[in-house]
Order: sequence, then structure tokens, then C-alpha cells
Amino acid sequence: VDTSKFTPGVIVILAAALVMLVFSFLPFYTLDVGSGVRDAAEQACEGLPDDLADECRDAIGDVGGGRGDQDFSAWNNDGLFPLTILPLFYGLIMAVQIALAKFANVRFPERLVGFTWPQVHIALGINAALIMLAYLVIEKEPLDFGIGFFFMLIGALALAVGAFLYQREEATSPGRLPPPPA
Amino acid sequence: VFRSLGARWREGGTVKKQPTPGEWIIMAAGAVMLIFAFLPFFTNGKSYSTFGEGLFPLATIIPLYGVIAAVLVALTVFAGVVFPNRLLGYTMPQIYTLLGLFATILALGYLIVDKRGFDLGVGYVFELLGAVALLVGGALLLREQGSTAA
Repeated sequence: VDTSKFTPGVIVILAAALVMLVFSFLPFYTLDVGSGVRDAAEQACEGLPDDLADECRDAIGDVGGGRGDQDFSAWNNDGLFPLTILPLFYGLIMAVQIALAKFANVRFPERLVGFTWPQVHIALGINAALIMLAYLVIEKEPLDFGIGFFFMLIGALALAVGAFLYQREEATSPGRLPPPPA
Repeated sequence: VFRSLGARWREGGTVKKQPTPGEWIIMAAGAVMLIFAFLPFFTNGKSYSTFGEGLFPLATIIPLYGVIAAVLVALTVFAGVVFPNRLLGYTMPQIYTLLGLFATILALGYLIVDKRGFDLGVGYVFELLGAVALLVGGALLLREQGSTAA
């Protein structure tokens, strides 16, 4: 692998997409079932016959994840997917295109429907960041943000920054044709 | 309004040029998206617009993109504002096309998402139609720009 191809823009985009992919499977939102409610429910289970009590405790564990929390990843199909996956999807398009072009020597057309690849990356990066910032503001009660959300937010912001870095690197790389006049 | 603007254009007033089909489509799409942003996006007995709880500001991005594109086009057509050839490296038709594309993707996302008992409202339907129209208008402008350049 030619290490000179690992420019800051390329590294940031690849790392950001990888982080987003990994953390998309971790809790995007968490729901605190409430320890008081759980304790009361567990107490109620105690009064049941043994076999029913076990079943009762299992049911509480299923709802509360055994820790008082219920977790929802970005892939959760209960009101999140596919909206929460869009930023990851944008990041993966960016990372795969760059990885193929830089490290597998796949030759892409100079332009995609009239857009240069750095333009495509900036559009995808900005939109990924915008969607994650919208999730930062959106009304989510009674849910809390999970660790997956925060790393997807950081990843999306990094995608946008990486896209601008990549555009600058591509513009200054030797042998590059100047953009056509508008 | 359009008759008045047309008259001003003929008189050489503030209207700078006759809008192209692509520009008309973008401005109409933006106007529709703005109006329907305040109408029910989701309903379940109660109605929630794009500014409603759990939707703002993610769903609001859809009409926002339409309004941005429509205002930029209207400024160019009716106020004679001349934007730089490239904004952040994009031509204006490219920006309109991208706004339409990403508004459409987001609107389609809301079509697929599990709505947990909610139904789609008339606001949603027209946001989706507006987004698609925005994309089409942007693509037409890209083609118009291409044919002009050629």
C-alpha cells in the first residue's frame, strides 16, 4: 500500500466512517425503565410460585435489559431506521469510493452526473453532519442519548471536515485538471 | 402577482429575466414546501407538522431545503442578484439539485420509517412531491446550464 495516499482527508473520512459503522450497533437512545418501577415489579414477582416468579423476573429483565435501561441502536426498527442510518450510509459511500480509488486503483469517471468526487463528498459529509445535529436538537423525551449517538455525531462532523480536507488535497494534487468554467 | 411581475419584466423594471421552466419549478416547489410545512406531516388523531414534537428539526430540513433553493432562484430572477459563479465549489444549479436530492432522500426515509401508529398527513405528501419537484427543477437547470455553456 502506498502510504503517501494516506492524506489527512483520506484518513479522517475512512476513520469517521469506520467509527460510525461500529457505533451504529451500540445504543443510539437509551430508555431508563426506572429502578423504582423495576424494584416494585421484582417484589411483585416474589409473591408468585417459583416457576412463575422466574418467568416474571425474566420478563422484567427483557424490558429493562437487567440494568434498568432499554437500548435502541441506530438500526432499531422502532421509529429510528432508516433515518438514523442515513448519515452512516453517506459515510460508507464516501469511505468506499475513496478506498477503492486510492487503494484498489479502481478508476472512477472524473464526474458523477456533472459533480466531481470531492463535490459529492462535501455534499454527503455536510448532510450527514446536519442530520446528526438535528438529532441532537430533536425532542426525544423520555429517551436519553446513548454512546452510539455521540460517536455517530462525532463521526458525521468528522466526515464533513474530512470532505473539505479531501477537496483541498485533490485540488492541489499534481496532474489535476482545473475545474471547467461555470 | 405573476402578471405584475411579468409586466415589470416587460417594462425593464426590477425583474431581470424571464424565468426558465427549471426556475419556475424550483420556486413553485419551494412555495408548496413552505406552506405544507405547517400542515400535518404525521397524524394519529392529533396532527404534527414538520415543526411538531419529535419531528423538528429533522423533518423541517425538507421544507428548509426547498425554501433556500426557491429564495436563491427568486433573488436571481426577480431581484437580479448575481451570485458568484461558484459557491463552495458548486454552481447554483448544482446546489439546487443537491438540495432537491437530499430533501427527497430524507422524505423517503420518513416514508419507510416505522411510524408507530402514526399515519402520513397531507403535509408529508406535499413535502415529498415538493422535494421531487425540487430535484427535477435542479436537474433541468443543470441541463439548461449545460446547453447554454455548449
